[in-house]
Amino acid sequence: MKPALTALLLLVACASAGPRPAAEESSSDRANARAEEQRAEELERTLSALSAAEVPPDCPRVCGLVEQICELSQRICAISGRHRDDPDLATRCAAGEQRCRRSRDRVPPTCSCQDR
Amino acid sequence: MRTALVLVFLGACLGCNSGATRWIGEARGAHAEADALERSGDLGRAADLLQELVSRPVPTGVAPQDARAVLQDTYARLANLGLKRGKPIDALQSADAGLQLGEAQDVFASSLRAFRGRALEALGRDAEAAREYEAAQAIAEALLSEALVDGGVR
Repeated sequence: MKPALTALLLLVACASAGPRPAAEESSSDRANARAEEQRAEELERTLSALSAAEVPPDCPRVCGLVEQICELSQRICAISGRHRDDPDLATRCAAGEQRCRRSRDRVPPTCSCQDR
Repeated sequence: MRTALVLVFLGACLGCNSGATRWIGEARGAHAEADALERSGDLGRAADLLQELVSRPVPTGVAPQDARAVLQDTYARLANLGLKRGKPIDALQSADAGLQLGEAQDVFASSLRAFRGRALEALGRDAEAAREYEAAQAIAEALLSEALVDGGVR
């Protein structure tokens, strides 16, 4: 998938490169430019279609990682709870919880992890 | 389950390299036997069996990253067994031995860091444990990013 996208991006970039100065333009140049524009549009449409059809996420793996991240966050915060006077642990707990929330937010709608 | 997948995959990759294939086969056998021993409640023998596996020399035909994967997976399991047996010092030693083989942004390093944290916590070394959990979490978050980008397995 990635090489295909890269190749398409390069083709789009080349196909949509800027025109030469007007003085150098001939009718065949203009025809070529129009053809290139059409080609660029086609490639952009293909690129959009490819992007929309990206590899579906591996939901069990995604959910497992999110669960792991949140479980680790709970462990950090449990330690912080036992040492309420330790600001460093409190900071780590807050950062861990943030990571957990961020990870849950990143779960694609196509994956239905438990505890979301 | 993960161990079995790792070993089957490596076995397939190694093909006809007899020493390497034999080592992978022995590792797979040791893990299967340890599974059975764990199910029967004999955690001590399961640990002994896996300890014997990591003590064996790795044949020369095994690629370093494959050897690291098998050994780190086994050390993580040993660390878990140490915790289950109420032996956090053993668990810590196993996690340390696994991490000494090198670290990458992969499930093995994340798992070893998490077990190291649990061993430290059991030993009352809470601040160090929190740091290990945080390190494990950072790796897991990076793996999540990878999984979301390409759906790939690492």
